[in-house]
Amino acid sequence: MTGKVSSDLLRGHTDTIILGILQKGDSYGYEIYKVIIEKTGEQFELKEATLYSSIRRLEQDGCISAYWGDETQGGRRKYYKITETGRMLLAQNRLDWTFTKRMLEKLLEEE
Amino acid sequence: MNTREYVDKLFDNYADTPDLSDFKLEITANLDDRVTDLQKRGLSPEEAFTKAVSELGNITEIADEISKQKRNEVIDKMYVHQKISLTPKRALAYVIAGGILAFGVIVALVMGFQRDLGGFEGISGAMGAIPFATVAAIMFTYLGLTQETAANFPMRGRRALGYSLAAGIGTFGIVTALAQLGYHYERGISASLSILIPFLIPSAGWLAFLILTEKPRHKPWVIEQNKKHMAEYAEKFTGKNAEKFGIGSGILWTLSFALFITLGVIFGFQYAWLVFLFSIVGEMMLLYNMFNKN
Repeated sequence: MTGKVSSDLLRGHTDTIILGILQKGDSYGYEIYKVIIEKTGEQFELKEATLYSSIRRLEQDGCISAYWGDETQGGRRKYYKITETGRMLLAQNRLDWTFTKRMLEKLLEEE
Repeated sequence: MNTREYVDKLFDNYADTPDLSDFKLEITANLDDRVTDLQKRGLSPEEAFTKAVSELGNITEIADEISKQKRNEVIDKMYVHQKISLTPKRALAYVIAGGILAFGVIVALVMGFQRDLGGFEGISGAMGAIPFATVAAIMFTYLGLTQETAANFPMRGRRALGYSLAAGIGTFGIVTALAQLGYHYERGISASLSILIPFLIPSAGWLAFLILTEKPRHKPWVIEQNKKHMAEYAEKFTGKNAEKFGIGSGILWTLSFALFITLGVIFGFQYAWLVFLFSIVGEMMLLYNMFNKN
């Protein structure tokens, strides 16, 4: 029996996932989308709408900032960059996740 | 259809704000990238397009957010701030204008009394007030028009200046004519008028032009309220109701005039006009009746 991606669970962490990707370097909408799909081997059926919602939320909260790239690849793309607030939130969320994971594992221990 | 057309159609019903345009651009660019990638993987253009579009999800929800935001921003800026605060600069300007006017009045009074003239000639003192009154008129007009109120936006500076100059010229004419009246009382009104007319007519003409070409400066909430009132009136004054109301009013006032003349002839016109007081009451009762009907 193989595992299954719980879409709901992952969706709740979309913000953190995006921040994690942007921490490694500035990126734009589709690139972020590709990274997520490839890393989860296309198991996570992420809708672009979810992605855009997250991005807007992060922008409004000041965790990421946007800028328009130039037309080097034919077409102006909106790039996002993680801010200091974003880095702090990412670090906090990572801690929270590690803690939650440990708690869940403890509760689900098959003794 | 291509991606841009598709995205435009998705957001057909949404108000075109800069925010939304930016968003549509972003989505379209990403969509194009996705389609290109899928084609590289071997899908046909149509298959790629269909798959890419199916991955979008409920994107219009985000447009709802965008337009709600914009609406809230607009309403917040224009409705909630009903208490308009005065900047210190403006307050000072008002005070100075008031001071100038007061000073002019004092000068006029002093001059008027100095000439030791009783009665009407004393008005010649207005000569002293001319410069002060003119400046004060210009300042007050400008300040008043460029003042933001709860109901109106301030007028643009240049246009307000136009009004102010017109007011200044008019005031100049009026005050000078008054002074003239005092100085050359013997010559009568005609001398005064000859001063008044070359200033007042252009000023009045210019003012009329400005007023006729004026654009409304109402704030959105005032416009909304007006629209609501109009809608309510339209509801009440529907065809049959309006006709009844009109004919009723016609009967009322024709009767009043008839009574007025009759009573006037019989009892004298100094009492007959009282009829009109009653007809005003009657008119208001008609109006009340009209609004009472649902």
